[in-house]
Amino acid sequence: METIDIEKIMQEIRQDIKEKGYTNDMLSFDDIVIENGTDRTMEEYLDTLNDLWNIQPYKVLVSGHGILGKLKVFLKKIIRKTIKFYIEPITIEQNEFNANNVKFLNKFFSYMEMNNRKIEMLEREIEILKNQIKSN
Amino acid sequence: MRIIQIVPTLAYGDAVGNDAMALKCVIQDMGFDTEIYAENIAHPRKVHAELIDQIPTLLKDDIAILHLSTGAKINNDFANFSCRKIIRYHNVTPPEFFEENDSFIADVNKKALQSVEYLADKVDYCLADSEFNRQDLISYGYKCKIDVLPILIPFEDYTKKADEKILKKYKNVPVILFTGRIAPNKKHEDLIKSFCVYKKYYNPEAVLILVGSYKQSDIYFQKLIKYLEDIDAKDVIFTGHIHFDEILAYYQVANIFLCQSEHEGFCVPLVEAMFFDVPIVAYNSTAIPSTLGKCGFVMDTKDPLLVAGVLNEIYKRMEIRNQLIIEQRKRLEEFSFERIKNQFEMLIYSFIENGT
Repeated sequence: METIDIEKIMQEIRQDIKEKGYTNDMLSFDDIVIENGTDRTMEEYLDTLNDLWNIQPYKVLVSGHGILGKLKVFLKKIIRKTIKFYIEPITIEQNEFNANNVKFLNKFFSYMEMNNRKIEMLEREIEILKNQIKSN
Repeated sequence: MRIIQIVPTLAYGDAVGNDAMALKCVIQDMGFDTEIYAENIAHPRKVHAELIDQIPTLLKDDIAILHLSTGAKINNDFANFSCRKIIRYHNVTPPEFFEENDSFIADVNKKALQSVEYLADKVDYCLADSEFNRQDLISYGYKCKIDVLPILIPFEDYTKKADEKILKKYKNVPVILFTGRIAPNKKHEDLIKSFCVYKKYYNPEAVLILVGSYKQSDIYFQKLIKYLEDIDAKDVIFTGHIHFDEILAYYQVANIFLCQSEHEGFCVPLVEAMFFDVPIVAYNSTAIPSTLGKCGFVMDTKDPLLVAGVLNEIYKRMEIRNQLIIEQRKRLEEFSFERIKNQFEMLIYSFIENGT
């Protein structure tokens, strides 16, 4: 075979697909929708932060199946105890930082809302004054 | 006389970065004082580089080569360099591919294209890594000489030891492979569609391996994962960022390399597939036909039924496989390290002597 006759092969494939009745009725990729993080409002982000700021250093240890599973959990508990002295201070500091961050963001959000209300009020006043100038 | 190179990001495993690193070695061998300067340098590094702010004062006879592939502040600043200026053009992925999933990258690429246009009358010479890229520069109004110089690939690296675990795991498994960052222009969803049809009708044992980095937070990647769930696709593997020996192993176990990308400036993975004698099936778009030349099975359609049929023909029929490999080996010679290295040297000397 010297060169590949792509067209000939494609024709054979088309014929084969037709004879065997193969179809492709797959879901279109364009129909896949992912909630885009950037569509969330600032309030929604703030709510998430208020829920998530406090990190727990120890996750629940899930027991696996059988003796091996129980042994794994036991070993994890021992490891957890031995590194407690190191992990807990870091978690406490991190949570303090997180708490201050979230407090600041909550205050800043309130400050921003207050300023937005002021700006709206000022914009209304400007509109009224502009109209007054126009009518004079 | 200095010859420096400028890249936005220098990262091992990235085609642009690898090209710059390979060219640096060549420039050093030519006897010139040289360095790579980057806005970001990501480890691990094979070759030494400096940050952009370390660029020394350049004299008018010095040469600066800007690798243009993405938006970066240095792109427009390059116009003000007092030395001779060359653009190494790798193409910019059109922002439209990212509008839906990543407006930040879309914006970066918009700015990159603005820079491409801006620099049209401000550089002395261009080295495009494909004929497609050369034509792209001409469409942006570049009047200076533009030569085509494929990406310099140190094939010696590909002879290193491959990961044994992967070689063993996939030894007798039909593997369809694609290598490339998870990005919308590479059309991973089309790979998945064709693979699922192929697996359903022709080869239930087949596995699709998608070698390429991704971020969990990336919307396009999340869509792909959801798509896999919704169509109940099996045996589709995203490897993520992996070590080089693992990449080598995947190429060695691959039966077919399938590419459905809709935008490539060169597509190094096609040349890698050639090196590893993996028959290539590719969609006919942008620089892909110019990289493949007359080799590979190039299709004008993405119809999953037809692509699956082609995968089946290549997998089953030894004569087609062998012919593809013969043609690919012949094409691979055009990209040999020595050949591209010699070409680069000739072009640079010609530029130094004649300004073109």
